[in-house]
Amino acid sequence: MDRRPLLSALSFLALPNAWLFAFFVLPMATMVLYSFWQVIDYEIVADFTFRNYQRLTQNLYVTVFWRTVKISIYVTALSLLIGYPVAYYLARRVKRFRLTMLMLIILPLWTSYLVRTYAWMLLLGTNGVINKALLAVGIVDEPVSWLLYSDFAVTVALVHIYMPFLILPLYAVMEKLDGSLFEAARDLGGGRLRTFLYVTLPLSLPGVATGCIFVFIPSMGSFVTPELLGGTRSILIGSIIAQQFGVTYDYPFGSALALAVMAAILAFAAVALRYGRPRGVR
Amino acid sequence: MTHRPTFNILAPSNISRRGLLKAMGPPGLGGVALAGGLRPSFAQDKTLNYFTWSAWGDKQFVADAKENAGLDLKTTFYSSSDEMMAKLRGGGTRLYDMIVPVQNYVHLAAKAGLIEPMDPANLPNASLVFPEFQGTEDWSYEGKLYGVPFVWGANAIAFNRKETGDVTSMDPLFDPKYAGKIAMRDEPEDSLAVGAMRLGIEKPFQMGEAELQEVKKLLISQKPLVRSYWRDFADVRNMLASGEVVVAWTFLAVIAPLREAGIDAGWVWPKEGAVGWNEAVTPVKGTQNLALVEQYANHTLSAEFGEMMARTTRYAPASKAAVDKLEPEMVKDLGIDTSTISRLVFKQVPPDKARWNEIWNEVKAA
Repeated sequence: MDRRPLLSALSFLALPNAWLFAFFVLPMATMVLYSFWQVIDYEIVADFTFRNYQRLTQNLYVTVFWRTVKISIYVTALSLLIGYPVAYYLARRVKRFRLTMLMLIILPLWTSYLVRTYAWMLLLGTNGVINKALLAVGIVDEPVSWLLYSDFAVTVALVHIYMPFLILPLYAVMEKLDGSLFEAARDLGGGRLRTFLYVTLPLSLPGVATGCIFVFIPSMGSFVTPELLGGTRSILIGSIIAQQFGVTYDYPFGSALALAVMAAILAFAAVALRYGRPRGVR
Repeated sequence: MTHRPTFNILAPSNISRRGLLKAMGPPGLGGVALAGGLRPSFAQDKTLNYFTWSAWGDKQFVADAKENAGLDLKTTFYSSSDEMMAKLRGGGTRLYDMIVPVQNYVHLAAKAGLIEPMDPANLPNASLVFPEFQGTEDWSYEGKLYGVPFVWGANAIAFNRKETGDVTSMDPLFDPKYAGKIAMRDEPEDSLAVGAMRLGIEKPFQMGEAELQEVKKLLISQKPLVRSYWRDFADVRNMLASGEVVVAWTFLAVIAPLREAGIDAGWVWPKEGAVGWNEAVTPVKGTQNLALVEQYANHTLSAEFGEMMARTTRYAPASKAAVDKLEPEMVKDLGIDTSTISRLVFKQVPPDKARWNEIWNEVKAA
């Protein structure tokens, strides 16, 4: 048997495998190992313990964890509600300015994440643009204080920051949909709504799933935006993880927390991919 | 006794940088390591990598170091003592030449092998410092000197006089009249100490679990009044400047920029007490520029540096010679009177720091 093709395939894969091993497998394995160690007097001690995982069950971490999951779900759902029509419009309706409009969606990504977060402070502040406009129009008598330093501010900013990551994969899927299916639906007497419900929506589900995953993952880990825009209750799990690595030097507990977040993300991704298969058209 | 192996994240703690480079083999590899981020040092180079609070790395301090000490400061900032420790422990000892610890972290940092002692003979300006800050136990560990404070003060209350009138106590921080107009610091030591002082607990940094729970209860009850917990000093400055808040627990450095912006900003050590501190320049373990660090530390104790610092930041110099150069009105305005030190609760590292962090997170998550 000629083994040359096999060898050449293996050598072709060597580089990506080495890359994956160095930048994914190795850091993950390190994190798993650290999560079973502990810190004593600013020293990481390699004594095997389940203590970090036991700490995860404390009321504090469970509460913060669920808050994070809830806000991430809100952000993902809102991004989908706003992003879906945008992607649909771009992929199925616009012809001439499609590229320009796509550029407009990508453009904010060229600005620093931090700058975009600070921009929301200028918009939502007590003396910010929105409050000034509301006062000028006479909708309110005094500035609305819950716009900034609240869950509302965090959700709005995260939707703004991550929505492009939902629109782009959704657009990519919708743009490739076979036009003859829509013609067939119309020929069979399907109206716009029925065509959308029975053809467009089921076929776009893979894009929906990918887009939702792309928004949910960074939302779960976000900590800069909640710290800058969140109110006194806006502590998210990302902040606690960052605190373990950057402030309290508790890498083992930080690793355990990060692994717990990763497990939640994997569960979300599994559900999204399970229900994100194209369906309804056989 | 069983030996427990310990780990420094980026390199074993018991190996010097020189040893590390040697262990890495040929000079070429050492060069690669330097390019990869290790703290560079060259014999003729007068650059010091300065890991510090933002106040001490501002442009006027960098310009002063260049002009009056011939040193180039390359500054990186931290916003809490915990962050300083974590970053030094996480590999920062190979990146920085000197830090400015608060007195309560000196023993901890020395014990963890993160800082380097200095030769008192190289700090002749120490004789200019108020006796209260000379030769204190805080700055010596195992008989070695780790710094002489160039500045002292307290974290306390800044307020917008137009909105609050004069403030003398912590009342406005807990007054529903200022609901949504109050900022507190997002840092366990400061914030829990505020709660403890408010409750009249005598030794805030020695609190037991029952007292911690009382403080937690008080701070949770304060939460609906608090607009935001600030982590970065620039954030609280912006909040006060934009009118988002009118009273804040903060650093004194906030006052000068607010007054420059035309705000009648007041500053008070409330009658319940304030969180006292003093700070000094300390060499980071393994620095190749120890002589230059000592030169800079000595410079910060000079009358000229203290005067410049007081005029630009309004912080109190620990140097008596510096205070002598200031006008009496300014001395009064700055509250530079060492007899008032008794009103301060000087920071200590709490016995169970992890528990303090947890209690603070519980307040924030409540």
